[in-house]
Amino acid sequence: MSQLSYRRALTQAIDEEMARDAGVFLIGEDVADSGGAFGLTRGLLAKYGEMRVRDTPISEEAIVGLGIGAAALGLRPIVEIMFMDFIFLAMDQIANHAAKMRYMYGGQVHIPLVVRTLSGGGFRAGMHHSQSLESVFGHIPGLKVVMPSDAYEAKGLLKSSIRDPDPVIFMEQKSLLGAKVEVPDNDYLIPLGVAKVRRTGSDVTIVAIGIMVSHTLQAAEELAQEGIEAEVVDARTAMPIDSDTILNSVKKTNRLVVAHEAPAPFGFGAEIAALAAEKALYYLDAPVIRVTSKFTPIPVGRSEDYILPGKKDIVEAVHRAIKGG
Amino acid sequence: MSEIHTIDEQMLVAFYRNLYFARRFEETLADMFRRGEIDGWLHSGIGQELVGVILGVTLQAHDYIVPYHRSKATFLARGVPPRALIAEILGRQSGICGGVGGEAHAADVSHGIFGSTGVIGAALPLALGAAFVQLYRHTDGIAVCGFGDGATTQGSFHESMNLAALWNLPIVFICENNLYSEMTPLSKEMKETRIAKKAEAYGMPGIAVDGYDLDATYTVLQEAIARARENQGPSLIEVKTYRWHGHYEGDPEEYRDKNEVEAWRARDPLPLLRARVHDQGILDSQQLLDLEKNFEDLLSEAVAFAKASPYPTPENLLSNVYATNTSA
Amino acid sequence: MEIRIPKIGVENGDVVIQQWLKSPGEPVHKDEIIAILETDKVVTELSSPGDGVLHVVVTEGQRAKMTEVIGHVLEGSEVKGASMREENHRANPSVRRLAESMGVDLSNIPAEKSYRRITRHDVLQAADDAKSPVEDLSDHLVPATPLARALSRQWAIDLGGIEGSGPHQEVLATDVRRVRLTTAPAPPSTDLDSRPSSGGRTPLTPMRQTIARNMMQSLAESAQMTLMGWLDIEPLFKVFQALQEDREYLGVRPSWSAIFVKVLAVAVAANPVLNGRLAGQEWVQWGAINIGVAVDTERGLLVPVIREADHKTLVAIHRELAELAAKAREARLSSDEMSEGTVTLSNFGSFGGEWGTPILNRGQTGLLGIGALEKYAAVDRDDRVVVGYRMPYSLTVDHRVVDGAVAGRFIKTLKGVVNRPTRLL
Repeated sequence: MSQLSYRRALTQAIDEEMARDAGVFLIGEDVADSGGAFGLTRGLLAKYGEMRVRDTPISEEAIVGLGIGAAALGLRPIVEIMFMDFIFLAMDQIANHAAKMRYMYGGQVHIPLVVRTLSGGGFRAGMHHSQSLESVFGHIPGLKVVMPSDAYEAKGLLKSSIRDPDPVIFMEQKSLLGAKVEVPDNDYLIPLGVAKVRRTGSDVTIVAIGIMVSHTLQAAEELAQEGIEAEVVDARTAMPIDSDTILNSVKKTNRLVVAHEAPAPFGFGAEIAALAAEKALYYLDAPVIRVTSKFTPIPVGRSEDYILPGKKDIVEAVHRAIKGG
Repeated sequence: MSEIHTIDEQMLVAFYRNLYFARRFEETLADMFRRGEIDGWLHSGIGQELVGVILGVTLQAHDYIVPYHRSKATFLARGVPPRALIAEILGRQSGICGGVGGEAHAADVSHGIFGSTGVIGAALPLALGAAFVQLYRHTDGIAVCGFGDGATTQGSFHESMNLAALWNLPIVFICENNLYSEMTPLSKEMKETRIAKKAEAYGMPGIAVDGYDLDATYTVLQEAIARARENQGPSLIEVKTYRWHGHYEGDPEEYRDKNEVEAWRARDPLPLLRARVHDQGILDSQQLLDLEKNFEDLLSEAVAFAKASPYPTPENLLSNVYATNTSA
Repeated sequence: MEIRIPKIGVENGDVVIQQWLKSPGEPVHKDEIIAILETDKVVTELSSPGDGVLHVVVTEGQRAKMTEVIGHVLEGSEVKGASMREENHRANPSVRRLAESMGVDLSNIPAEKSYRRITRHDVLQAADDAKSPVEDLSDHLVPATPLARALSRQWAIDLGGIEGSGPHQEVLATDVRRVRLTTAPAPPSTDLDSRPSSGGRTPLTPMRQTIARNMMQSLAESAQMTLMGWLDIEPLFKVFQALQEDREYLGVRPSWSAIFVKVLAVAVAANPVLNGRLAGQEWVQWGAINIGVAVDTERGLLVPVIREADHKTLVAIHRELAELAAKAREARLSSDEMSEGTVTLSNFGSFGGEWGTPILNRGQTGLLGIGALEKYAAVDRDDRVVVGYRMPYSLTVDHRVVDGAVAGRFIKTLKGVVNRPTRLL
């Protein structure tokens, strides 16, 4: 057990899995020689060689397609898309092929592919380097979407994603890269599709995902000062959704706030609100409130702070929920 | 480079058998479609069977084929049971993909056929993966990727050609240039219509060949396959061929001249090959008739089997979305 | 044959067709119960006027006026094409075209009067109404969170009577919990989770639901106070015995309920403080004295009414009550026979009860409950211990208009009647 940054926890996860399984390989732009745009894959080339750690040209569609083909035929590729915003270039391969191939071939293949990508704000780098697109992928049958909320989660979830038989979109949270928590040095897995209650409380349930989990935990501490006990559920995966954990919490607290960095329309929050409406309506004592970014592209510079949601928005949302709307 | 074997008698018969059967298979499907016995669409590969036949007969068992989307010939020559292929096209449970994929998305991984897709151009990146697996596992296997002239205008073509050459992947890109992208002639799709020439820009050989000339096509393909197998890198082969039917069955084909169709039909390699087998004394007339009769029986049996097969159950239709037990 | 809403209740009000028990086109028979009607006071059953096939004009959940035609029983040749004729009958072709163009279903427009045709105005109005469903709902729907709603249902608390503490006065769960704490002892568990229910669950019949709602609303709407005491019944007991001896003439068994219908009617006539109701800021006094009698049936409590009981003989009341009670038990009671009660009698002595705190029928001001007759050691004028006969009574009044002293004076009047049975003649 040691204090490890989110970045190093990810490196450790890849390293351990490559050591464990010779079928695991890593490709992407700048991942080999330069060790990744954020030093995340540093040292792996020297350890595992060029066949397993490869730089690629800037060809998102080709490298994801290559990953799918290799996965279908038995390898375990990790394909890095440097920023999630670029993933649209590979959309046909991900949405039409990674997601559907098992189904359209009648179960002859499965696609143990991990597409790792940096998502979300935090670098103030603007609309083409800052998006969170979990709901785009959660909408497509066949994909799993993982959003680790700290270094411990990052390691356990990435290792599970690499071992998972299905295609996983693994959204690394940019603004957490340097954040350190205690991370075990040994091999541990966090199952996909099992949410985690990060803080128990009786007054309101806050379901958060990705970076919003840390904002939410801070908000919960602040709320506790005024006597409001929030239960914080880290969804961990946008797909599959752990309905049981979320519903059990809502049934206990009777109030629901959902927090994610992506905009509200058709988002993860909408899905969780619908879940509560379908399965726990008669337990709700306040409207479901979503804390999300504003419905705009993300501007560059410090304007980002205005557009993206934060701790203050969560506190306000909880106040509204407690008042009954 | 290793020597290319000339076509011996045994191979000639194999080509004839497969070409004849693929043709009858295409004709049978077209008839069934006209009678309303096939749901959805049918994209006939009639007139273009030769490439798939050569690949199916000559490739090794551990090679992967990402098939050209019209090529039923590839499946049949590779040994996929005709009954399971028809059942798939009819959307039946006994089809090679359980009746869920259908014509455009059929694959048979046990026969090394995978990567078929309903999206033009999407096959190329998938084929890179198949080639990379051969490289990664240090096999002498290769990947072959079939696509049409229309795929060459996709971005995926550019990305894949570049990456394949850069990584020296064991792959043969085979562009079946049938002169039309769906309903639009080549000249309206690209300024440079000499597709093979494009290979040069990526640093790989590009060779054009007459796809109705068995010997020429065979030789060009074998050379490219040998290059890939010996780790000398990918090739782009442009096979000039022709689609006798429309883009889809029922296509009114107002975009092309009937004389053009007739001119290509007149060059049909099937009767030429039959005459060659006969004239070289490999099979006599009676043997040829017996062989053809056997195929008719096989076809009728396959059609009857497929028609009698049940459609997928709701349980079938709800499974295989994930390999794990996952629901929304 | 027309199916009309009978006159129910004292005042003219809307009736809701709560449920058609038969579907349109289904055969119905004379006197068969075919619908359940509901006013803001009572729920009642409606029986078929004849044999034939049901044709519905006013659908379930719709309102209709008293005496309005809400359907037909069609006979023989009428059945075919009846609905077309009905439409033709209700609206002329240009109105029908207008309705069609505006997407208005003519069958959803209640005719204001029977035989009145639907006008262009009605269609336009209906189209307007359809445009603003939110407005429509506001009359009926108390804004409340789903949890508050669920809790109010579970604890049978009327949301309408609760002041909401939400940002726009929505009722929240905490409001319902507060009301419950102040009105009822806590049941063993408040857990919404369906605990394994030992004896299973049965949905309430529509009639039971209405009774439940009416009871809650009655309590929510008025300040009910119950006074209790004894009635010395010795003189009346002699009347009872006399009636028993003359049973043959009477034709039915003598009944304390019937006797007290007359007692109550005579007392109310002498002291009419209970014969009226508080309507907003006004006291409405009624002329007639119509005594409702609570009758326990398998399906729930029914209250047939003996009209102008003060003018009827004891014998007539006996016969009428016997007939009404029988009808009630056989579910043949018409809504006419349950309407327009002004004061109610409840005889819980018939099942051995003594005192109770009976709940007023909505819109009434007095209800007399009587318990079982008992012998007791009485002391006579000469201080001798003798066998006496007495009966416990419980009188519920609406304290908003009837103070304790006023109620006490009414009880004095009542005792006067009980002590002098000649007043019943």
